Amino acid sequence: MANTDTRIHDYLDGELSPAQASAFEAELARDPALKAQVESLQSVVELLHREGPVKAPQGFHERVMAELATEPMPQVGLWDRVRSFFRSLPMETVAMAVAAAIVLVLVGRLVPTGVEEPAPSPMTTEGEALTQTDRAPEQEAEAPASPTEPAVADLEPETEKAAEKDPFMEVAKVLEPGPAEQAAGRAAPSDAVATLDLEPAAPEADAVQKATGPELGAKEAIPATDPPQVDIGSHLNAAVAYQVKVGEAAALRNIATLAERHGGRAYNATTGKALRPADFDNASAVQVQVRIPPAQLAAFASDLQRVGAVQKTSMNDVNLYGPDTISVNLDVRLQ
Amino acid sequence: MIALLLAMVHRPTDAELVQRFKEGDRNAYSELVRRYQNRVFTLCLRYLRGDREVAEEVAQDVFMALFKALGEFRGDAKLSTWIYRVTINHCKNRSLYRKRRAHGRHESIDGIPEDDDKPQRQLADESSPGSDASVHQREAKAFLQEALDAMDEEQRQIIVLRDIEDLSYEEISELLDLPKGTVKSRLHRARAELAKKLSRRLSLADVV
Repeated sequence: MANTDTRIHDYLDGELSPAQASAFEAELARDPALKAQVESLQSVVELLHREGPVKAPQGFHERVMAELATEPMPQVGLWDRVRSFFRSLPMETVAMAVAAAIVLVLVGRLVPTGVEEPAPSPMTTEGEALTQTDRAPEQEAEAPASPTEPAVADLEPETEKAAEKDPFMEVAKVLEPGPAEQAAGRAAPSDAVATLDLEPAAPEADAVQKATGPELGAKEAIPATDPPQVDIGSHLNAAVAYQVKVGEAAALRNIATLAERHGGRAYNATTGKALRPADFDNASAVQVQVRIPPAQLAAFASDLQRVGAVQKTSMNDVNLYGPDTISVNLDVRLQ
Repeated sequence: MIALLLAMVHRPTDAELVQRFKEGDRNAYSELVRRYQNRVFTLCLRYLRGDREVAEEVAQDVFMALFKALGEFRGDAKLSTWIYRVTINHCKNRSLYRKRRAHGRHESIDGIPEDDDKPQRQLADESSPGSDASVHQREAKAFLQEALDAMDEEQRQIIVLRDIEDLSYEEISELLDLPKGTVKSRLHRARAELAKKLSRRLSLADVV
């Protein structure tokens, strides 16, 4: 049986079965102290429920939209543009086009071509190949079902997909291999691993090691690598904050340099003021917010690990700086 | 009237609005702002200790940020969960900033002082002029806000999401990336703490 504390709150939340609720109420009748405790908590919960949402200030909506009036509409994907095009057509036009397409297909099947063509057996290899080739354009037309274009219908029902395909967990995998990941209880699917191969190849690792040491070389020292394919939409459903323990003061300075190497910049996490590498001199601990392009996140996280002992501390500190930038909070300390 | 009836017949879902936005329809975003403005503002207000001015500013920032990112929203999570998450993150940053500034000025940001200099608020006397249920309600609301403000951020956050915003344990679990059991135990502790704080200030039996 669950402990009393759990049963009290399950009772308040209406999560007990009718039989369990009756038994609990009988217990309350026998135990005045327990009854008083439940009534006190019940009062608090009812008071909170009565609060409900507060109305936004008058004119809030108008002010937001006025502020956005000068903002260009964000870029959208090809599929959305295609859908937009078809949606903009009059319904009659679409209906006629569909009807015409059906007629063409039927005519194509009924009218003899004049060339005798042996009907391919559905069981032959050639037949299968032909069928697959014929299907190719159809598959392209079904692009939204592919991972590159989200099915918007998925927005409404609750889904576990965000947790399953969380690229941040892949980053975390690099930073916290093995037990930590198991402790988080969120094993990443193997296909995600294939998409986000965050472990750099050995020669690259050497180069990065060189680049992230106390003596940072020129920008060209970082080898050109294909950035991992990460998706900002998924990023926004996750978050990262790292604690980085470094052994020497020079490594603090490297955080800013690293951010710049990955096309980003380091900021004071509290004031939002941009930091230069020199700002790290004579510091023993810094709260940094690095804002970088999402595609560089994995490489940055990987390099970060080479700067010092990295521990992921939170999954709830992501911020938006537009679709092209993502932030990573770093708590950097000298060991 | 006809427009109202039409709206009742088909109220676009969040998913439809997102799709329309992606197709370049700015009005779809306007509808989303209208739909979520109260919830976002409430969360900001509760998170930022009842400061309406700052809450409005942060809520506005949230909608600006969402506008820029919505085109990339893939729908892996519910839109509402995503919006809540973005809101919480903006609030956290603002809260951290305020806390550091307050610390610099030696402002008290912890707990309701047991013996502060302010006169203790008195519950309206039943017999005094103008004292009625609404006065009690206002007092209770004020005490509640005060008690919520005095809670630590983690407890306040979870109690606001569950008992004010009425999110399910599953939603909170996804939003905060915590196991459901942890969400529950934190909520239990937070409720007990809130009851304790409130009992110092008023007799709960008088307000419910």
